[in-house]
Amino acid sequence: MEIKLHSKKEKNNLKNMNINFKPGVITGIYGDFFKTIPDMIIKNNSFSNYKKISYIERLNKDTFLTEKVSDEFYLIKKDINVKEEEYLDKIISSLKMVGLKKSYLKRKINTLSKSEKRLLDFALKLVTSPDIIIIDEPFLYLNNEYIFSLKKILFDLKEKYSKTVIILSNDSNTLYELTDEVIIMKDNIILIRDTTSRTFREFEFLEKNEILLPDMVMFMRRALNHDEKLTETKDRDTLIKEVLKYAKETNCETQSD
Amino acid sequence: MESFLEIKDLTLKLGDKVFFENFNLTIEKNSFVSIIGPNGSGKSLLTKVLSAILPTTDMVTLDGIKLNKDNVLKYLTKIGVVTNDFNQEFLFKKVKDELAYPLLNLGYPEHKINKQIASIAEFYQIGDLLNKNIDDLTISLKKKLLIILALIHEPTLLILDDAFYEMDSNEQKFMLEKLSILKEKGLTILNITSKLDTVYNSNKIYILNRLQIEGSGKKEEILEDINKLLDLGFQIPFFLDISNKLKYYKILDKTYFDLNELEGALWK
Repeated sequence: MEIKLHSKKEKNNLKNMNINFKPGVITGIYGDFFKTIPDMIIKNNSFSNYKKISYIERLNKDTFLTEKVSDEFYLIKKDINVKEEEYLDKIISSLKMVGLKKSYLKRKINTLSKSEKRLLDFALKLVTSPDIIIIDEPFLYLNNEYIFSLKKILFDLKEKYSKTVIILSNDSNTLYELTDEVIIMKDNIILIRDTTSRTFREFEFLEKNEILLPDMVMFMRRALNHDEKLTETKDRDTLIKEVLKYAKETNCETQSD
Repeated sequence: MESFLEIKDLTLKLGDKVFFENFNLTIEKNSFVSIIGPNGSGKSLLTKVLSAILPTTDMVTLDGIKLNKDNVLKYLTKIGVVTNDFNQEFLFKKVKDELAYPLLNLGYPEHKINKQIASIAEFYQIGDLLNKNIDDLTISLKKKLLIILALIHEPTLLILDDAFYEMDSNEQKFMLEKLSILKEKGLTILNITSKLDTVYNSNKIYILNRLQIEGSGKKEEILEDINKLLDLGFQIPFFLDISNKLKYYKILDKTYFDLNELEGALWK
């Protein structure tokens, strides 16, 4: 699905910029986009069916409009083409997908933690069956116990449902861990667009643009300075295994010396 | 070291509910102290007590000033507070005007205000933001501005309630470095937070859970217990996580907090 981005305002000049966001791919956008990109994607003239886009913003005073979780779901029912009797099932499956139980429907929103509010917002967006999901700083607000839920949701959206997922983040660790490809923008210009692993190999370019390398990449890079070529991974436990493997080899060499 | 901030036998009654039953905490002068707590542990409630938003009588003492009805104004001049309230709004359109307002309230003449703003801009590297509209700033820069504003009247105690929450990692690193400089100049910092990567400079760390202090110690003592931190729901920063795991496998002898330390220990 191609989204053409162009701005009417000269100062936000993004004209001639076409970004092709593919289904089944998680694209991360890094940069000074915080208003421009979501606005442009959602309000884009060339993309009329905007109801199929869901934007999960940071929590703010307008995130929820009612007091109860169930009321919040029924408030948006008018926008969803679903029979009354099927809606409850759809709500429950959305809640389940984000790791929240059916019992949350009875909860008052002001009794929820920030993590729960964030996941509820996610469930509210999923119930509308969007094709494109834009999420701003996905790890924000989440307690450790919900990090796994979030990763699973994103994985399912990508693999099972072939959705287009766009992650807005200025945290290179988040982008490294969650995305397949990365777009880095500065002053409304795309500086780089490539696979996530290739992007974060552009050390000099990233440093020049004051973009911090992901911790895991920095670690692997330092290891390489000491002749340890660790296999590239996004998983901490796999990285540990690699370090242990090298430590064992070094130990054996030292002993044989 | 002398006690600078003291919370003694704090019990807070709000309606028919009681919070913080006989809660005690002492913070030394010129220190960087962190209180780490998960969502719902009482961090914001504690901040409200320390900011005199929730009324208490003689349970909080700062630099000899007992917080009560009579002393509240004197107390407030001594503290700077940054909260994590996402409804927090700015008063002015432009960054420069927002910075000038508290200085104007302090009775500074115009030339002194301009001089002060220029020095703030240089120290925090925000010269290019001064004439910008606050609405056009990223959330991260707004957060940075809130910390700068909390420090503008030169308080002796800075209270941060998850102030780094929505801040970009390079901005967070920058501001923590600046706070270390200010600490050297005499500022006491109380960093109440759920972000573990903001507590590495702390002289002491407290764990707050369910409105009680559940533990305290130096960073090595508190941050080594990863299982407890996970149980409490904290996200574990990468270098802390990996160094603890390598310690478990006896590759490392202790926990390391940043890459340079870790590199030195792993590949000596």
